[in-house]
Amino acid sequence: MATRRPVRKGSRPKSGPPQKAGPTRQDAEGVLVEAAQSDPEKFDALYELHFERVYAFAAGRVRDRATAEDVTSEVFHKALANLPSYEWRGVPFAAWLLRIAANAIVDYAKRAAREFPASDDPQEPPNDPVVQASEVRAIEHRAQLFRLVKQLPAIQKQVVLERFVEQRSIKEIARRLGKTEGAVKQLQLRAVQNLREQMEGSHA
Amino acid sequence: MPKRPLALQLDEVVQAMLVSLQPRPEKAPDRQLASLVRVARELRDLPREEFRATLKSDLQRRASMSESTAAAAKTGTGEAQARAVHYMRPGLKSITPYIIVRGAAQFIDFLKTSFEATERIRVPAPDGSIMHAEVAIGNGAIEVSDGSDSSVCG
Repeated sequence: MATRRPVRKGSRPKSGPPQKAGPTRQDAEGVLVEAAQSDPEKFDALYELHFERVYAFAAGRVRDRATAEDVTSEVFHKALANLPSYEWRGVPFAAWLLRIAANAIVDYAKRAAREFPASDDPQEPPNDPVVQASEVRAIEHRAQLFRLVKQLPAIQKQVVLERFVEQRSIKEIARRLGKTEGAVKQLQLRAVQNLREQMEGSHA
Repeated sequence: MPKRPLALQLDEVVQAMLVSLQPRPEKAPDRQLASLVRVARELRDLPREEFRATLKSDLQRRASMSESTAAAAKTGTGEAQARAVHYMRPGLKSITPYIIVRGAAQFIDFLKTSFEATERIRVPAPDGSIMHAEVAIGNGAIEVSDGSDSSVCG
């Protein structure tokens, strides 16, 4: 399979980091994209880099976890399948993924409308194929938070996952961890405080 | 009234959030609590670790399949080339039985009646017999012909 060198031209996103001399984040990403284009088994690195971003976008636009997972899965499978046809041309890889995601969500919304035509809920989530800059900022913020959870001390991370992902009660978590309910609430507080501090630090 | 510990206040809001209730409004909204609640609200959308890992291994499997198919196609093995070029017509599976039978039209009628088959193609011979036909049954298909005098058929 012939590899195509991404064309790095056109405007960079206005919200991007200030450009310095030397390799930029986009150059580094370009190397990863090229590597995956010539060897699909190297797609892993792109997945690791963008999973939280794509999931945060999907979760922000759809209502339930199952659909957010379906959309995320579809985005990465499509990206892997269409990787040979991706060319840089000023569109960062993340933007390409979000465009796939936005289109996938539009398709989901259409399917849902066909299956449940009576639903005219005014609170329908946005299914605009265009991703606005303000939405991108919110996605980046949320994706950063998701990444920071992985760096929490193990016990705090476990409490966060059990409480927010598994949605277990404090009582159940206390039983599973062999701790008092008060201790679990303290761990929850410390985890959230840690995350808040790191988020403030990362945006300083 | 002594102020309740922050851990309890936060958990009260988290609990309400997880069951989609409005938390009890604080008399004096606490800035410290408010900033924690903003973080907690975003944590509701945290992805499952298991999903992240499963999707990653699915993609790895897919990537290694496409890699091996592409590599094999380069070496020119017939099977790999066949997989790489999608030789099959939509609606057909890897193996499609071809039945040559006297009275192909009646046989097709029988398939329609008994197996809810759908006739997709019928090519008549000049004498009115069926030179070639294709009927779909479920997600597969059978090809049928009356054959010719030289065909050995039952």
